[in-house]
Amino acid sequence: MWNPFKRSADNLLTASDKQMLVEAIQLAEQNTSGEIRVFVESKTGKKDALSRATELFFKNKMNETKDRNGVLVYVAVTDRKLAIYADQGIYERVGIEFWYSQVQEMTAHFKSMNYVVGIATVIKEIGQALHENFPYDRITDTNELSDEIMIGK
Amino acid sequence: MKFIKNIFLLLAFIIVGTCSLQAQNIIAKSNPPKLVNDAANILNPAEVASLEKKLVALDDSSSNQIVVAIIPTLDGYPIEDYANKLFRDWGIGSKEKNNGILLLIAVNERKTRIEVGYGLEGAIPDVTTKSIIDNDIEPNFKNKAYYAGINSAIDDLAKAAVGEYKAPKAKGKLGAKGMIFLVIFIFIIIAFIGSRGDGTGGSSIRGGGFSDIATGMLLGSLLGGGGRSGGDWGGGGGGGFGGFGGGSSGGGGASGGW
Repeated sequence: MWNPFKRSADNLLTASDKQMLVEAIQLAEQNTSGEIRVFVESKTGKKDALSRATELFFKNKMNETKDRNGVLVYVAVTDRKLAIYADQGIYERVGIEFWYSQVQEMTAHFKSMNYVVGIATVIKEIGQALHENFPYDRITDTNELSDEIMIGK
Repeated sequence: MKFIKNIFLLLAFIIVGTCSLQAQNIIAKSNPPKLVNDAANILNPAEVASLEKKLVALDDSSSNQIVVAIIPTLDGYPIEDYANKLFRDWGIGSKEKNNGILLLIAVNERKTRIEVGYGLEGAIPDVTTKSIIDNDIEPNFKNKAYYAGINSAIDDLAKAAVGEYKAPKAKGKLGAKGMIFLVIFIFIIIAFIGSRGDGTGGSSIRGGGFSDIATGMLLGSLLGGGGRSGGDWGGGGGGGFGGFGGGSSGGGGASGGW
């Protein structure tokens, strides 16, 4: 029997899941200067999910991209909360409906326990939005942020 | 049953959908920008002018920027998201320091939120914003003393930003309410002991039950100050950042649960 109370940040993703997500990030970033990162932890602490995502965004210096186009996908496993925080550059270009639809899509997958698929799907769609607004420039573009999945407590 | 559940889910999605559309309609920044924005007209012009003067002086002297926004209604939108979006769209605080504070008051919903810019999160943690809402805003607003509530909240936020705010101790808050609980508590203890002396089983059990509730109330009023309705009054969170009135605003996002 699946027990939601036993779920924590450590056991949500297996090593191969993480590898799959890293590859999804790399694929999504191939055609854009934008940057995507994923942070998974057990609980949001005393904050709501979006505030916590905002905090982690700045703590991990994701606001220091050249075009202000970093995006953090945040999941709090035990609290069953998630959020997406996008930096100014990309946030303003796609509008709030886009972020809400991504969150809804992710929660739909999560409800049927397809965690990896849910995260991978939004990575792909955010990558597409980044590509449309911040096309890749072979000469100037660098991978500004690590693609590793961040796992909190 | 499953059909009914699906209908509910559908309804929930429609409601969520409507909410996110309404998210667009936050109140517009006044032109020229003002630090006190009373769209619900709960303050008189003299009160607005006095608060504005105080906040401008604070902005000039410390560069910490406090914005007061009073809105008639949230239009069904969560206050956290409304505050987050308003903070971002208006670009409260300076872009370099992210030192803005938003005091958002939704009159119809009777909700208050203090949103703190990232640069001040260390100085003004959630526990401080909660304490300010509990001690400055709530008691005054209950008496419709809006100006007094906002004025003291601003004073305490300004103190907190420079590390000088001290939350009133629960002991100080015990006040009349706590005393009444204490008296009732002692009274019930006496009644309980008395009823035990009688040796009637039934009343002894009932006495015990009451004393437990009284203990709970007393502990509650000692620990929490009592009277606070949970859930509605959130603490600060991260927001967007930028120079208010011209500078570019920051990022943002969306959240959900499953």
